[in-house]
Amino acid sequence: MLDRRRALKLLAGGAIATTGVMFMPAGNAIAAIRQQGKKRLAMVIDLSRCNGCKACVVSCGMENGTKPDEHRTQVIQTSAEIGDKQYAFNLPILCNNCETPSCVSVCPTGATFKREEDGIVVVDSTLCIGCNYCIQACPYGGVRFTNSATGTVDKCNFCIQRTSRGLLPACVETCTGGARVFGDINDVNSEISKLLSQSNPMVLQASKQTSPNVFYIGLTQEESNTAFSIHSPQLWQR
Amino acid sequence: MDRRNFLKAGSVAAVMTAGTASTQVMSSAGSKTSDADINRYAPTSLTPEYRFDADNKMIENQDQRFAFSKCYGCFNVCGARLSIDNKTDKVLRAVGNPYTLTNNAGQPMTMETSPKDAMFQLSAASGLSQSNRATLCGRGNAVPDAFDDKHRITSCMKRVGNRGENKWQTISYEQLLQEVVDGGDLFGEGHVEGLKAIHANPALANPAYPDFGPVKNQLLVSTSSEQGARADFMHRFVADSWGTPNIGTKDSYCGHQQVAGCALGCFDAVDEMALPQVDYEESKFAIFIGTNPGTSGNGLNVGSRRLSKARSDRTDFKYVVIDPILRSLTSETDTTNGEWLPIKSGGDTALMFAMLQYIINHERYRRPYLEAPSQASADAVGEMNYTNATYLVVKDKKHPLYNQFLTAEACGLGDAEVKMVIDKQTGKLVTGDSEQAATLFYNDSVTLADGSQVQVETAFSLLKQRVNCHSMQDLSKRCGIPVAKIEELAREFTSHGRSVSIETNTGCNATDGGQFAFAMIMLATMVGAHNAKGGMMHMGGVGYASMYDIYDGPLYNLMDFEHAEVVGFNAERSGDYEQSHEYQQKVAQGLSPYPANEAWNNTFVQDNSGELLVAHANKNPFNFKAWITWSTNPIYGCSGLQDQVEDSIKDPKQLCLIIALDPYINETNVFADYIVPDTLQYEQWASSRMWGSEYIGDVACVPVVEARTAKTAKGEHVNMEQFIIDVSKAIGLKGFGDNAFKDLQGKSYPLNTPADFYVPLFANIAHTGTVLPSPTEEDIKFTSVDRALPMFEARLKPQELGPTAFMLTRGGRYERVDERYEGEFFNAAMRMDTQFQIYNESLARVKDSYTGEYNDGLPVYDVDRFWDGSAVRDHWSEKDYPFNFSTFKLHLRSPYSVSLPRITALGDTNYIQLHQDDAAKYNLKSGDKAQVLSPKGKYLEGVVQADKTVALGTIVVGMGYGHTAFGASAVEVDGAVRPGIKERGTGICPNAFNVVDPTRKGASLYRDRTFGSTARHGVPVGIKKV
Repeated sequence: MLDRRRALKLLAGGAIATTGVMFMPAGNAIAAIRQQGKKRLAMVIDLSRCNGCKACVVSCGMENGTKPDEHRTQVIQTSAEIGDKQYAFNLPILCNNCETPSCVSVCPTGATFKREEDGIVVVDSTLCIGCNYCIQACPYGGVRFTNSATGTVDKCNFCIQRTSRGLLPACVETCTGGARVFGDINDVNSEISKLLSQSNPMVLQASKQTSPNVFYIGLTQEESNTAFSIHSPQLWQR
Repeated sequence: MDRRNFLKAGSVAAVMTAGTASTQVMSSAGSKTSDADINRYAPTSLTPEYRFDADNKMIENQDQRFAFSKCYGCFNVCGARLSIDNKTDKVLRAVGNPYTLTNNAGQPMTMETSPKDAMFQLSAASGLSQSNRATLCGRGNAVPDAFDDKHRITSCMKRVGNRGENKWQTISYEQLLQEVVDGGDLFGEGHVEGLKAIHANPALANPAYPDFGPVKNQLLVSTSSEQGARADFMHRFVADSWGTPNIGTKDSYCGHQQVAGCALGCFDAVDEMALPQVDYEESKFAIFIGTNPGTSGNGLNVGSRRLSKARSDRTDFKYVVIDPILRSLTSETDTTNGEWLPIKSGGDTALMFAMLQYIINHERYRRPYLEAPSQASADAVGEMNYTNATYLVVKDKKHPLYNQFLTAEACGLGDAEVKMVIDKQTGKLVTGDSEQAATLFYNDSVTLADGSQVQVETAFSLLKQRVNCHSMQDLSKRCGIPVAKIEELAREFTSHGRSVSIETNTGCNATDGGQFAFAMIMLATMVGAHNAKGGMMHMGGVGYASMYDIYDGPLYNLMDFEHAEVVGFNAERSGDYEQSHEYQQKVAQGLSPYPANEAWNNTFVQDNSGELLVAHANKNPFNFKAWITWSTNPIYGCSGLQDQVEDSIKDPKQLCLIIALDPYINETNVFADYIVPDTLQYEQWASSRMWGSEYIGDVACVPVVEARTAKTAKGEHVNMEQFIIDVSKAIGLKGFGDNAFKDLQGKSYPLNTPADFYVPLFANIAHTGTVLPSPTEEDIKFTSVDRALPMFEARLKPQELGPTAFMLTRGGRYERVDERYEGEFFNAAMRMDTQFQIYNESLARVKDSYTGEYNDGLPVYDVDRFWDGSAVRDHWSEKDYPFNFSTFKLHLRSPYSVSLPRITALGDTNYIQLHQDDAAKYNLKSGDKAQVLSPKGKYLEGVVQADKTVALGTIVVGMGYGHTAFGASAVEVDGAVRPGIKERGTGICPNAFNVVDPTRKGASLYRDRTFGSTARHGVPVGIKKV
């Protein structure tokens, strides 16, 4: 694993807070998941294929009926200075549907839980009382939010209404660069499994030990340690 | 515990420690996900369009139906697949059509694949690779919200109060029709001439300009060139039924001068088109200049995928994006092979010349390719095409062929079509059809048939001289790129044989935009990259209309009616000035005919809505009496236009009648007298090329939801086509009503509704070349084509139904190419085989309308100049205006997407963008307010964004913000106010602020030196802190 040193500069507004240097290779986490032998839906995002087109953000909103300014997924965009050159940084983020989620343990009603059959962390809207403890417990800024229409907590649930019926999540269907790949990481023949074995996948904020099920190809260690938020101001208008 | 009790009880002790892992999860009972479960976990989500059961059988959702349609979220025009709610007739979701190359990069479904099969292949259930997906971009996904937009116009409206006050009353379609056709005292402002009277008047529009035709030329029609068959429908009305030359589009203020400029390097002509694309699959080095690969309109879906694949799957794809501002395509994940290179706005041609200079001086060009004067000689050395590099240009000022190629005729060796070269081996003067290599460098005299001598020089030798006119240092200074870097680019570009590409898409639009494109093609010609594997692909974005005669047959001839005569020059003065009345008068009076009183376009017919409105504002050749504006927005979109023409548009004494056909009130049609509601994409008949497609293909579809527009008394939905039909019938124009066109057996057909036109057109397309097969019942039902079939059954012969329906079940018709390459070149179907031009003789025969001098046959590098030839910087100094101004097209902000709430939610504003070092000189940093100052006396006030992602010496503002219409402002209809939506009006629009040409008389636009199209880049500006 190359540790590429670079300065990541966000445009005015968002400061990067690094959360420590502890690092857990995603490979071990994947092995641990597989040991349990259960279907585990997961996503791989190959950052070398993301062009920041935002098709995923829009399609997610259309498919899942969230308000235009309340996002289950976003693409963080900023510039990155490497050496003396400027590059674009496009980072899709969403709920990681973690293996050991911080959110589930603090839910007083059991509204949010991780499903046995596929590993999706869901929110039962009929049980959610809107206490927001889960939002505060989750280290991934903004992936959980209160849906202002329902008053309950909303998040990416891997388009459970589609993925439980043989279809792909909306964001994956429409990813123009082919960056998002989805499937069961416990099926070694699945495309996602093959992709994970061919690359060096990273997760966001590994030190939080939530064991995410969203893996990134092309993420650097420094980026992995950064606490990105869906609520980052959208200063990149290009 | 319910919510209310929880809040009453106060805090509940809960352990919340960031980072604590918990292994305790509560799982739901049971393992199968019921619909009830889904309702609890996903209460606001759509139900899926279908599902696949355990046996992979598709179970359709009875509440939704599936249909193919066209996406018009931007001007690329992709194919879309839709889910429509059967109860509400609302489009719920839109994604890509998997049959098209524009949406499904590299692996489009074959036409033979049934639609249901295609959907299965796209599903997770199939287990197939997810690289096979048919996408729509961020804009396309957001389009379904347009249909119920509160600011959408669905009724016929007539203005109340003055033009532009945005106050309207709803009227019936019939009243609107009668008023615009018959005229009258429609607004209490005096008599308004109706369309019928305007058309019937045989008098000259303006006796002072007898060469500008009769009164009926005083109808201006602004259209959208991107609407495919709908645009053709409108064009048929304007040119062939009514008969006015005054039709305008956005092309020539968008960047068509680059398309025309590229063509200068490809054809011996001045009115052709060319716009090559990078061959992502095999290119070893690609330069993107003035374009944003993968997010520009040039097929974002396919561009994004192909760029990503090239960047990720290949180690041998290097690319550089040259632009005044960093966009999102050079990813920090690939710093080895990709980079952004900042360029000063307006410096594009300088870079091309500098690279050409290096390549030619260091002999890094592909010599055998350039030495081949004919197809036969090219074949002999394994080349696919040849150039005119070795042709001899006559350099004797006294000779009739001065600056033209020496002909075989002049040498007594053949006719005038054959040109002369010097044989490389023998040194002898021979005809250009020689099968032997010719010499690249010859600058001497030759002896003609009559024994006289004439000085000649090869085109290539002239080019070498030309690109050496300025030093590398000067060129480097102009573009802001260091000499060492330019040389590195030139070396890289010439290190991969033919497998290099360079692409542009309207982003290089200074006054030399046309010349830039000519030079860009020249660069590719140096290495023989045209039509080559890994090189330049010239055949992108072609559809059936441009490649086949789909309006003439093979079944129906929609043009078979008595055509109107179009008389006179168009008002923007596209044509040969020396054929004009003004020229002939001056000559007859012994006056110097140059400069012409106004600028003329002697190359291609611009049809520039902006220039046509400028002509109107100047009453020269006349005011327009009536203006029909459809699906376009020049007041917002044309750089510099607004203040040049607004007053003359607002004044009913100058422009008597304005009719808008549009689903929105935009910055242009806000001045209309009448608005006819037009349909939105899924409500439209559509047949259109797709810009991102590499093979011939059309998206073709019927209306798949009922239009939201008002109905006529006869029960038809109001739209552009219906209006044009009914106006034409009321006036008695040919080509509409009964006996509007014929089939190839001579039987007459009527044109009373849009279906009367599109049904036979679709039948033509389905029967062009290979006749399509018939679809299965299942295909027809699944794609909702059964709902449309009655319209086809009523109009077509029984045997024509099958193929036509088949096309609809695939959302269009798409050709396939089995083998992308033939050896080292593209398959013939993907090639543009032509003689590439080092020296464009046709351009050298066109005179500049100011100087009266012939244009140069070689690319020209110059400073920015106005029409009168004076340097822009002599008018507006570096001292007063130290920056160059650039604009670019934000990828989410097409001309329509401001009306989409999911798009406006993705950005609050655009910015005044500049390098932080430049900003610091003005005490500016990100977040500060500043004004950008235009020499026109206007300014743009906005928020600064200063960092290192903008070229030095350049200020950049993105387009698509700063709207005042499209729902940004309040609208009053029938006394009730529809409040403006704040999110639609944020940001700044750089077009109204931009400069025009002070050396032209009266109203004007900033003009391309070669073609006359509207320029907007490299403009001098200043900045100050607010």
